[in-house]
Amino acid sequence: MPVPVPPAGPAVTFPTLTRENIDAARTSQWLDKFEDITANATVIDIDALGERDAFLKLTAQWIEEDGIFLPEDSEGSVAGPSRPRSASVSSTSSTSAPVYHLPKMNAAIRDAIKKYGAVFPKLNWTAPRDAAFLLPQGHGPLHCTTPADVYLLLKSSDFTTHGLDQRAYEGAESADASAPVDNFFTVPHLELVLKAFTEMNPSREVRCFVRDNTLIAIEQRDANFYEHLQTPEAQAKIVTTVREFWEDEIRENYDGGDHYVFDLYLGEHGTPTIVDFGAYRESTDAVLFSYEEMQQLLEQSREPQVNSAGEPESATATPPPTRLPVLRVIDSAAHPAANRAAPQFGTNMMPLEMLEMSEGRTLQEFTQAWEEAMRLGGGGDDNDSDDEE
Amino acid sequence: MAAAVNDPRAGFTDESGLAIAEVEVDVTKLTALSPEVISKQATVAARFSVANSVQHPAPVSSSSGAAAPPAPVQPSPAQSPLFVTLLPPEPLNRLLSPSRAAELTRNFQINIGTIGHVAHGKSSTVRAISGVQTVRFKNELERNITIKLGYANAKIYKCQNPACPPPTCYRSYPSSKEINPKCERPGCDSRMDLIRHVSFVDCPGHDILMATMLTGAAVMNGALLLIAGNESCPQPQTGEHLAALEIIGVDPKNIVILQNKMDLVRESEAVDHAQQIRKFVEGSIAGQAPIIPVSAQLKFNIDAVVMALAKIDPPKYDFSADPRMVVIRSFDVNKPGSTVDELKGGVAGGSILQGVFKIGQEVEIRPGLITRDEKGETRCRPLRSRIVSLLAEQNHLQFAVPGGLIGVGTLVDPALCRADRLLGMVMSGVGQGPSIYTEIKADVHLLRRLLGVKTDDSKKAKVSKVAVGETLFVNIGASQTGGRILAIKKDEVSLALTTPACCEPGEKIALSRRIDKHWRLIGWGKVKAGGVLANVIEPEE
Repeated sequence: MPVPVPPAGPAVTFPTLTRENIDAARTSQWLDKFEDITANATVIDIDALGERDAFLKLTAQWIEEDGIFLPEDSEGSVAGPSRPRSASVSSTSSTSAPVYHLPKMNAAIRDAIKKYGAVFPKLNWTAPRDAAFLLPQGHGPLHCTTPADVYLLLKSSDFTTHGLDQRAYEGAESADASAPVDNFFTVPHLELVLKAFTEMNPSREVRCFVRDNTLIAIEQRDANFYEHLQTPEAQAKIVTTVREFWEDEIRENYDGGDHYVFDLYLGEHGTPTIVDFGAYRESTDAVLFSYEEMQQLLEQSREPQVNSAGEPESATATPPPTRLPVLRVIDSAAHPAANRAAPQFGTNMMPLEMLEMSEGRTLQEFTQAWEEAMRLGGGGDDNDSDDEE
Repeated sequence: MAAAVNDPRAGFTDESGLAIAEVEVDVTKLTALSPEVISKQATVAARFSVANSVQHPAPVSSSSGAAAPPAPVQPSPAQSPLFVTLLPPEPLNRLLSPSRAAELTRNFQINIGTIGHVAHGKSSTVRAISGVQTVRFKNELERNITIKLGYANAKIYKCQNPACPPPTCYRSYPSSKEINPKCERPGCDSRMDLIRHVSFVDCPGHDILMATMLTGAAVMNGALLLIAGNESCPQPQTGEHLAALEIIGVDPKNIVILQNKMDLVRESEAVDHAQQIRKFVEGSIAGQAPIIPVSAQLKFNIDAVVMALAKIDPPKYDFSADPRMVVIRSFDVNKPGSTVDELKGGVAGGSILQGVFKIGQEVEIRPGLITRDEKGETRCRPLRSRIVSLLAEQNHLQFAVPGGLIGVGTLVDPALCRADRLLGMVMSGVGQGPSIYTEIKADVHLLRRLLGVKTDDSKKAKVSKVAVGETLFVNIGASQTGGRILAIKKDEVSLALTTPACCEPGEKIALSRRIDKHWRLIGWGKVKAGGVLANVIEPEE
């Protein structure tokens, strides 16, 4: 039997990306182009402000810069003298706190907050969603009203640091292979994106995958079961809405190549807005799909259709085995993702020791350290041990 | 809709649109072994007319669309205080006979940790017992770190026929199984009784360790230790697994060792291997544990495992304590654009720490709605509501006790529950909630060096002192927040919490510092009196 050669068959799970493809997913690169169909946002070019080094010292956690100390004058929605409680009595403690000066950034963040009321921060590609628990969430996650809020989230997030080191261009074929791997110099251009804060209903958020300029998959982003997403009508509507929006607004206009991921918010009356773009690579969470599955979907969709004018929407009467895009939602309250006994990003809300321990790698070691910790006073008894030096 | 969304006191209807009568449960009599209370509980009014709610996927019952009035009040059998599932009327009378009620008392949930090397067949064993495929979760950007919280639940049954021999008379099924299935033993025409609910927890999981380490609470009632029969024992990790069992504090009586993969070895090899295991566990926490040879793949001897699970004692809880639940998830199940009349209240999922929550009960969630004004002043408005539904897995409950994950349907503005917004908050009876603090004082003991984890540089592993102005990550009981150090006086530290949190003097806290891109545990503490209470606007009655 002759083996049909797929037109541009992806032989591998992940396409080859360039650094340019990855940079195209930065908010600054697409914000102007899609201005009308995305939330208002301000991009603060930290490098251009001239505070790159100070900011990196604050957030990138150099070896000597562990711990979180917020920059001077970053609290309060208006600039001014330190808030009274930060001037609290310092004891005889000899440890002195490092001081960070980011006056221009403070001012730029305050401007955005003034403009939008409250902002949702993002550093380069990534929002610090895993640190949301640090701020009051009465208005929703990542509701920032002071520069200090923004810094606290950025500094506390495991996600945003991903965009600050060599992992930022993971999966990209390096155009200049000579680029040094040394930490400091590979930190990409720094941009802080402050989006106007809006209340979002998580059940309206979808993530969509494009490979070889084909919309392969659409999925529910939030990990809960929603009854209203279960009917065939609702699902057909989502697929149609997203596909049309992609064809009309994104396909011809997005500059990030033929392989990318985009997030949409399906607002009132079904009008989508663009939430974000991302690179088609493993560090972009495929949530309910796996990248292997999506590759198979793409291949399956191609097998029987040999006609070169194979526009997906102009499908003929013969039903193809896989009609793209495929929509996936959490289809039962018993779905493992919806039935989990942990909050989203639960692993980012505990000390690394616990993660390590649950991996079972250093348990023996941990048991001893744990006992040691107990001995030092963690056990709750009142014997003051001599941990003062 | 907008006005309602901003008003935390706005009411939303329950699924029937009718008032919800509080379930009567005398918690002072409610123990794991009190048949008369169980049978009394069994006569509690039925609110959900669909049996077993398998067709009820929504966390909040979805009968709102139907014009039909709620089912008339009818007795409902209680299979357990934890999992009160309603049955079609037909078998009710039989179920409610006194002798049956007595048997039902044994019907309590037990949490079983499954421990063993992945390749030794953990998930296939859980699948063989529960019929549920456990799934590992991945975490965005940190895909190498898996969250091992693959919960799988099962029901354990025993045949009513006394002539049915053990262990064949014990059977396990997925938690969706009916209450009295037929015995599958050829020739036995009897029905089987549900005697236990088992929740399998892949362990050591983070939540288990957190709870154990921070509060000392024993979350596991028992454990299955898996050892592959086709490899010599001990394997390098076997000792670690025994150590984990000790940390988690499982009762040695409730540990069962499974010698798996018996389909791959000869009988003589299996006997030798069992002796190796016996020798290795001698003197350890698992020293007295039975060793059961199984093949999870071929489902060989699974009934013996089920029998061993059925013999594990249910936990003993103080049901008369003020009910407390820590919220670990919250969400809004509504269809976007629903009108206020159609809206269902938000759902909060969590673990009950103590006491009993009942349908119809008035509860409050603290701190509730937290807002900050321009000056940065924080206000908390606790959320008050009635409980309109209780769910464990897909089972509707009339009341819920500690153990497992419970979903509580409320009348709270659903928008306030979206995206885990209630994470870390505490649900309690009205007026029984913990205090809310914006600043806490604690006696703190720092570790000298970071625990365990590989550190390239021993100097780096040293834990430096905390400094005024530093912001740390604070675990308080089961909730988490940030805390900025305001003052240090010897061991006493004052912390301004980045978001107000519930706590009580005496409660333990864990402190972590941001080190090399991760939160690292640097010390422990105990909350003292003398913190600063949050500005709380108590909702009106």
